[in-house]
Amino acid sequence: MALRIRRPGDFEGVPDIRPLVWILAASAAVELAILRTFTRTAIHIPDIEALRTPYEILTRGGEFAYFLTLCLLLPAAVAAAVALQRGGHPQWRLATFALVVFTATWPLVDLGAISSGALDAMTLAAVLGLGTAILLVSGARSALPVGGFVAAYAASAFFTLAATGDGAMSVGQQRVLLNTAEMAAVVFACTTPMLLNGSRDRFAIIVAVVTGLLVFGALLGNGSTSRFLLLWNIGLSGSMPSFFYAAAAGGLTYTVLRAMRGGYPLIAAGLVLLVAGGIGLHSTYQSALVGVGLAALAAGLWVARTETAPSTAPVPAATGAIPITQRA
Amino acid sequence: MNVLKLILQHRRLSAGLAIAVVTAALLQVTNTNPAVSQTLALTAYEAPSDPGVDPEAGIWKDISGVNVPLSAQAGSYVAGGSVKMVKAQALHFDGKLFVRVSWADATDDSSTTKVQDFADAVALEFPQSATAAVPSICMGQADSAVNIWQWRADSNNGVRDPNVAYTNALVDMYPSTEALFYTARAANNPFAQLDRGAVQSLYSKAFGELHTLDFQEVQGLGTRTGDGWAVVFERKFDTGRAGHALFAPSTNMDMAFAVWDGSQDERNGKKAVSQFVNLSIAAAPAVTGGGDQTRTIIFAAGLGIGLVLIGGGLAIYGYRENGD
Repeated sequence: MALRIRRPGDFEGVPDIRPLVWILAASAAVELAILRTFTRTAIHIPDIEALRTPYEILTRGGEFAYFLTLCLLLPAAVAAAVALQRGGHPQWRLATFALVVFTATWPLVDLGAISSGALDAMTLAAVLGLGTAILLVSGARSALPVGGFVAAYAASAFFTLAATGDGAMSVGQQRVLLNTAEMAAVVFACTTPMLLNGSRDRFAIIVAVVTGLLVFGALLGNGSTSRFLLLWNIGLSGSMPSFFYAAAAGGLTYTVLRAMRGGYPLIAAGLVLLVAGGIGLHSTYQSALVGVGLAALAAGLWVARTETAPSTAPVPAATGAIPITQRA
Repeated sequence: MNVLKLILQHRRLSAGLAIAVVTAALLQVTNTNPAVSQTLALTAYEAPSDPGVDPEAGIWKDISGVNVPLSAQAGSYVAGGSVKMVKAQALHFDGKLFVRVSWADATDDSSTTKVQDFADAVALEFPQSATAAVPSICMGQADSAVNIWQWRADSNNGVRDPNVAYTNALVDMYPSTEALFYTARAANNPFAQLDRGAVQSLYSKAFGELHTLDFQEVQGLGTRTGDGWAVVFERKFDTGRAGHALFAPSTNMDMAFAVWDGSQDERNGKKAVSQFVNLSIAAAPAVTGGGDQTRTIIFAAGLGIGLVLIGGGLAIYGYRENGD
């Protein structure tokens, strides 16, 4: 019989990944805001040369956030893998395996032991594995958002893999993959509110609507720069009507805020990490953000599920509430 | 005091965080970036002999390349984009980098003697220095400049004197051929100079700041192929001068492409552009004969399916074990 006998903070030998994942998410968000967004739009600031000193201080801060995130990624991935493995539920083993595959592959490429093609294949496989684990654990509620993200990532990654070499795809085939990635990513973002049950959060709705309107305005007002940022930061070309991206931004904002305010910090951190990681293969840095983000999302969704399920359901270790399976 | 309490309560986390902060600072100071690019990758292997700038050299037929998709430029206004893809190949030999770019273009626009003529062209863009941040693809940014190599079909064709281009033309009152009468040349327009080659090396760190570098060291040659153009760029890894991209074996560099189709009135910002791809300069010798990624794709698909099957098996096992 499975018994849930532990509470948050009451655990032995199993890492509580929440603080580490949150620090990682905050650091990645700072890097995304400064290094990948501000420095690339600062050219629009009139007389930027006159602000050279504050600009340089800010960009150095963004670079530090990048390196700090980089340093935290490996420990976070290892901690997430250990926590999921000790979570006591068999499906986590798939997530752990996928995470270990990617975590082990990254240093091998740095050492020159495996090719970049193998790394790309491993990354795609890890994302597919983590996505499948989440779908197995959290069920229908996560089908659209998690399925959307994994489909978008896979389509974009296949585009990158297939574009290399003489046997590459035609332009039309490439467009099919990229459009699939675009639509699936929008589905992911728009349907993230489905990840959380319960009552609506009025404050989160207001902030989400304001965010959606700001994004809509930015895409209409300065579409070129906004779409470039979308491409660089998220990996999307912005080829769909602006309304969809506004809705996607609103959906994501609502879910992150509601998860933070509703006691699901791992879901919020997981989504922040997925946004910072982006869609498709960019770099091992961004892929690792996606890997840890999916792991955090997996743990967070399991907590959300166990809270609405009968009390005998085990709670994963990743939250600090460890399931202990005792057989009578 | 609260912070101190928090640190004491989470000693292991605080210690780990302190180590991460120090490591991050060390990486930043030494500009060491352990992350590896996973974007489209173009690998420049070492050529067995000097490939030269001839796009028809045999070695280019034997090595693989990468097909880079292009789209209309959208940095300041949406325009261009008539060329949809370029094929890029790269090699290095004796401290020099060679990049061959080919693309489909039905018309040969290599003469620009009339004001309404625009030349076919291709450009490569590199960050001036490899940093943690990839510069803005739109002509760089304040803290991260770019070095651009632009080849033009009309420059490749040679500067054509109107007297040569129009041999039957007669001018009654304009017989002068002194330098001052070639106004563009006299004004130091780089395209009008007789001693300049087909490629210009340019530098930029923001919109509107593009300028020609004083020291021109990039060699290049373009030829018409069956369906378009093939152009080879050649440059030393290190020119030792400011503003020039720096290359070295066993390093990675971002690079982007832009193509202009003169017959579509493409010039300046009206062009087709790519995203940054990763140029990897490998110390290993070039491997000839192939580059098909089918095996990698099958490997990825197999690995993904395998993980899904393992997960499915674990799930069924788990449900049975736990009676879940």
